[in-house]
Amino acid sequence: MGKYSILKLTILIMILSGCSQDFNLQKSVFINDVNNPGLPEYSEWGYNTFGAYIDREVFVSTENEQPAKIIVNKDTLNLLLKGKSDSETITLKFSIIGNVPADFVGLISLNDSTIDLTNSKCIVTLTKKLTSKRLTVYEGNLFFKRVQTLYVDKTLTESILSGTFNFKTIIDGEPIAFSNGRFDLGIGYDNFFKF
Amino acid sequence: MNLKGMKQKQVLLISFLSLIFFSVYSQESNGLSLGFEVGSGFVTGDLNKNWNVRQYMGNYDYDYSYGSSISSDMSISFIGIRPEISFLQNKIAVSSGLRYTRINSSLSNGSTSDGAFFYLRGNGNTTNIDYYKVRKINEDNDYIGIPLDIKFLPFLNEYFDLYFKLGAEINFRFNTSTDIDFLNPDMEQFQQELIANVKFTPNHFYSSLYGAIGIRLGKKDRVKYNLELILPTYILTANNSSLLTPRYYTGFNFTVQLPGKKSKSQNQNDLSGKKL
Repeated sequence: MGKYSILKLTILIMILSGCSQDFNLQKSVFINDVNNPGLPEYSEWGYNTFGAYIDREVFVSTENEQPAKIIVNKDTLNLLLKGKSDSETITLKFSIIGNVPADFVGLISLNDSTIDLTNSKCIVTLTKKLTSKRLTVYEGNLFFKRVQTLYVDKTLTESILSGTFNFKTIIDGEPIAFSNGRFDLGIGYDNFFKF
Repeated sequence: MNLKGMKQKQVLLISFLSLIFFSVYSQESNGLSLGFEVGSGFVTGDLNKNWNVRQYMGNYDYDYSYGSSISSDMSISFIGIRPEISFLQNKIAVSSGLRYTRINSSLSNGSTSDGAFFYLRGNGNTTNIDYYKVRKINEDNDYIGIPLDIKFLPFLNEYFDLYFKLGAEINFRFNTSTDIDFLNPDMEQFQQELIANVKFTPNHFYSSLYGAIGIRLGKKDRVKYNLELILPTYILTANNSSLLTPRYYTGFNFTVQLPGKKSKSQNQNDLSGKKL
């Protein structure tokens, strides 16, 4: 079965399963932060954007790529942020061990929680040019400032994860700072996976 | 002050002004005329943040057929009745009266498609949030007020006059109505709750300073028709709509002007003039 057929089958299954996540909510709304040029403003509307500075380079979500995915497996919650920096596609993955939500509604447990990225129960991975590297974080945290369950016209639709992140690491022998990180992500049927 | 008391005062004010107007008009004087006006204008303004509207559905400049932006509109329309008195061989005219003004403002999806909507956020709490799909939010603010104009008619002709007008008006708001058009009619029940979430009361007063250029058609002492182009008008008051902050407006004004009655002595003067 070719890739095209798999895609058609996936769409058919989604339609038949009554999946009604709002297409408009899946799109990204990028509002530039005037104080941090190139990054989206911090927001809590589910705008599906994120951004951070990697030293002076902007690492930011794009309009075409799915900016975030939550993948839950065994005992780990993985938050994947996929965007571009200096025209290159980069995926930043935060793996939080010991947090296993049953579905996207279960993400509410992260509300107002701070994850210490230097803790051994958190792994940060950077994928660039199809090469993944586990980063050693010396300083930094991931803060889920607000997690909200969204109802559209009284129908459960998605969870909105909003927060910030900052950390320092060493890549190829050079100290690098990920600073001013912020995210506002809608997590629903299409980007929450549990295996 | 309760609503009933306010309405009584408004009725008294209107009655008082009408009384003054009709008593003046009933006096027999040559320079006096009575105008009935109607006009409309389009307002330029900025979106207010009083309503929790989710921003553009995609501001990466997507080109989706159903549109991707929020559109806001504001207009002013009015009708009025006003006496006018002329001086200096009809080269200057002053008018005042009573004017009813409606300021309409609306918010909708920029698309003309039937299914176009935007998201309006409800109250919710820290961890639960409600969005409603809304086609349009419409707000009408009704005002009753008094305009005061001065016209300059430097080039008088038999059938056609060109004039310039300067004026100001002050209006008092007596009614506000807001309507939310939901995509899903079942959500109508939450309309009042959403309106109550907007902690905003439109200004009780609306005032503007305006200028206009116009033409007046009609023979002396006959019915005249005035058509004016309202130049960009500065709105003096703030908060005249919960949806938009108006900056200025432009529009038109059409007035039908009935001539006043002449006194007997003036009639005689006219007749003697004709004999001469």
